[in-house]
Amino acid sequence: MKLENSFTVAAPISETWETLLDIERVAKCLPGAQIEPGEEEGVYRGAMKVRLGPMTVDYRGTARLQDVDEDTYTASIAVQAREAKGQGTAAAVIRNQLESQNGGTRVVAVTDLKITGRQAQFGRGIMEDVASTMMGEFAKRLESEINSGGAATASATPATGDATATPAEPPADEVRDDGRADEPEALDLGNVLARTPMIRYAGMAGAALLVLLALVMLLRGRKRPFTVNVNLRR
Amino acid sequence: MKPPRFAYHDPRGVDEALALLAEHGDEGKVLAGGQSLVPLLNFRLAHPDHLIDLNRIGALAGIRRADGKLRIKAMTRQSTLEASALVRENWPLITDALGFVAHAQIRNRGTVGGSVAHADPAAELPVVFTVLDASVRVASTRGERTIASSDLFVTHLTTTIEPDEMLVEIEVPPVAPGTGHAFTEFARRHGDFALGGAAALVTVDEEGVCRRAAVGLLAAAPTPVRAPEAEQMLVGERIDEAAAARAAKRAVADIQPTGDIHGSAEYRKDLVEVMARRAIVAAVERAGNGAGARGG
Repeated sequence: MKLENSFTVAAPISETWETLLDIERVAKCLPGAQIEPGEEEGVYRGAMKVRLGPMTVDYRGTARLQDVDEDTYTASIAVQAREAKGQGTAAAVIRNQLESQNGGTRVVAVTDLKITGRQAQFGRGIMEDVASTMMGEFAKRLESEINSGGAATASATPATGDATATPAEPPADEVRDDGRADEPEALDLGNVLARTPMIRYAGMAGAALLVLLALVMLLRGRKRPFTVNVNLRR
Repeated sequence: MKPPRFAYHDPRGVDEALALLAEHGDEGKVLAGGQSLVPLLNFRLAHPDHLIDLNRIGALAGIRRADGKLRIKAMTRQSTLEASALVRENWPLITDALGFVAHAQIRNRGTVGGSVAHADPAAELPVVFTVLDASVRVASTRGERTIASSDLFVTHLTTTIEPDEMLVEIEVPPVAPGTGHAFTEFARRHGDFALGGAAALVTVDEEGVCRRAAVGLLAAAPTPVRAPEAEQMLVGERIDEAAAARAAKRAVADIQPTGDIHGSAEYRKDLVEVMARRAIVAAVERAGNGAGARGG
């Protein structure tokens, strides 16, 4: 399935380009995401927690930067993710194209998404909805990340276990002292969407969200999810 | 299909429930009628560490009228609300809409507060309460607050109720005399979530001129939505089929329904328009016949 999204950042193309290639900085702009370098150069391990209503989905996976071409300002991120508690998987290749626009930068992300498991049968409707909504939130955080030159989040470089992925500008209600400082915040769609929004550049989020949204579709199709198992076997 | 492991709590009073929520809200979930949450658990789509069951708190159920307002406690079963003579006489839109909520057995268990807090945009009660300008009272150990329905719904399955808060009561203001109501929806099978629907309240004066209109759309957006421009178009008109059709067209002009395997976005938009037109026409007819609410 192919999805296309775009967003604009009020920063020159060269700066935006540099930031987008720094996948650790990009991940910081994603609430709920945690990322660390993997064994290989250009490969990262990441986790993402997304919450929607009673559902929380934990994804674990890897992201790999590939086909980086500075002349055309294009780069791709290949993502493989798997549900921490469950069988769902998602694979995505997100191809990003940057272009100058009125002194700012427009980023067009084309995602080729493959979902396996029960989510596979779902259409693109809800996925596009939320992907577009979230892209705005990501762009906003990315913009402030670029403008701060990384200073805002430099101290929050996530390492194993003890780091909290600090967003560039955490929504007030996410800064709850709930005694769980050792866990990354969850991407609360409610909070994100309430403040207008959207992502999906960094593939972790994309995959997690798309899959999550597919789950919602699963529930929406029928009045009572009891009958959904009929669906699942199709 | 068994749920993942969770700690089960069955508080006997509101204070006890709120204390549990304060402690476990972030990793816990409130269980009301369980008609959505339990399937979610059994499919392992939801895996809260704590489940706080409100079914043993008698003080959380009941329907009454106070200061002209209908007050529905959160754990009131949908079937109880449907059978209420007080509601049928004064807020018949609620009674009509409940007939579309799933099936009788589900309404016997499903609660009014549960449906609202679950916030599915294709569910009937959230749209109806939005059209009625209802508000909800939520409580936590930090205190109580009231949220207008216009500020309640954020997106699919998400409300502005905080994890440590609990919906305790829904307050519905009285409906003006001379108001006609209608609820329509279309689903492929009876009891399924609707592909589209609408609720309308139209108040007409003695000359048959519309004085106030409220139109709400079901499954038209990630939340229940009103159609304020369409409502404005109806006010001051003697509403006939053509006026209703114009307003319905305006009502869906800005919506972008979510398409899925059950119906494309375009199809849903057309469907919601038809539903809105029928709801407006039916509401006007009832208002004209004096068959609607006689006011509270």
